[in-house]
Amino acid sequence: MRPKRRNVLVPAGLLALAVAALILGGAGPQARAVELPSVAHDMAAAFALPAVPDAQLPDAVRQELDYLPRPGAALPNQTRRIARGLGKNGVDAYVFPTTQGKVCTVVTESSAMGGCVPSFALVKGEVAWSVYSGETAPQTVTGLVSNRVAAVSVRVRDRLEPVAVSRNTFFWQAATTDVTRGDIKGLVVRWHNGRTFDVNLDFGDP
Amino acid sequence: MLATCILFFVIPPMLAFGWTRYRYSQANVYPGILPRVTAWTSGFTDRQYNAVYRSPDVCEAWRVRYYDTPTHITWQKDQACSPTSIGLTTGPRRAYCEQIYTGTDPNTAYAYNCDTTVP
Repeated sequence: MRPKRRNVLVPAGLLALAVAALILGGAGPQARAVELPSVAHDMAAAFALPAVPDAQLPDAVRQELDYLPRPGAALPNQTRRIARGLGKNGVDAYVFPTTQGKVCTVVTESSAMGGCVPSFALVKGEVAWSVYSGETAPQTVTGLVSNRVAAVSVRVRDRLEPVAVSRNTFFWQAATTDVTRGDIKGLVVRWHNGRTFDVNLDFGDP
Repeated sequence: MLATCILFFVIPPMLAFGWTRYRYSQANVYPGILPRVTAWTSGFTDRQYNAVYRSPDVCEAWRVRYYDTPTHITWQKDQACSPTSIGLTTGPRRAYCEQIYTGTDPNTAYAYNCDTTVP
């Protein structure tokens, strides 16, 4: 009686081990931490936020996931919403890492604003800025900043306008359309260690 | 029948490889020689996006625009690094891109692309 029982138990045990191995093997890739590019590590507060699954992103952001990272691709399900309800249109800002080691950002204006930064070492003051305006948006200065950046001010004509830095991003928008692109002269960036940088944004028109 | 077969087998790979994209400018930039490079699409049409990107991706300033008439800008964006892009238009637009050389790029030369597509 006993040998017969062993004959049943041994294959059952092996089967259970095989099933467990299959389950663990399948779960491995999902459970393994995604390796983010170094520029994402320079944005610790932004990437500490929980990721938004790609399927839950707005269409404009999903489209930028396809177009923006060329050459390369967006890392799947690694997008973070780093700001919401900004400016007169209540836009959101998202960031996502790419297979080419960049971090890209999307601002959800009616015409989505997209861009990437390959490394903060390549931008003065470690601020990857952008300036935009359009049919439904007055002059807007926004961007991504590294962990070193404590404060940003926008130089508009001859005055400095301080901007809040939060989750490695900042966003400033003119109150009216009276402010033109030529009025936006630059940024003053201050790091946590006290160093300051003047970033020129006055490029003129061709 | 033959035409149907050709369309059946040719169009899906075309779409998959992004052949509907329209690259309206492609060139090399040599710092100090071409301080400012501009490019326009030839016509006005609905557009999915207007993007500029380059290889390698280092940071000089870039500008992208849409125009609804030859002189009126509907959207403009300047950015520290490439790629930079503006998205979907509402109505026919001409696409524009511009490189603004600021002299901070340590590279000697690089290629850039100005790229747009229709919905």
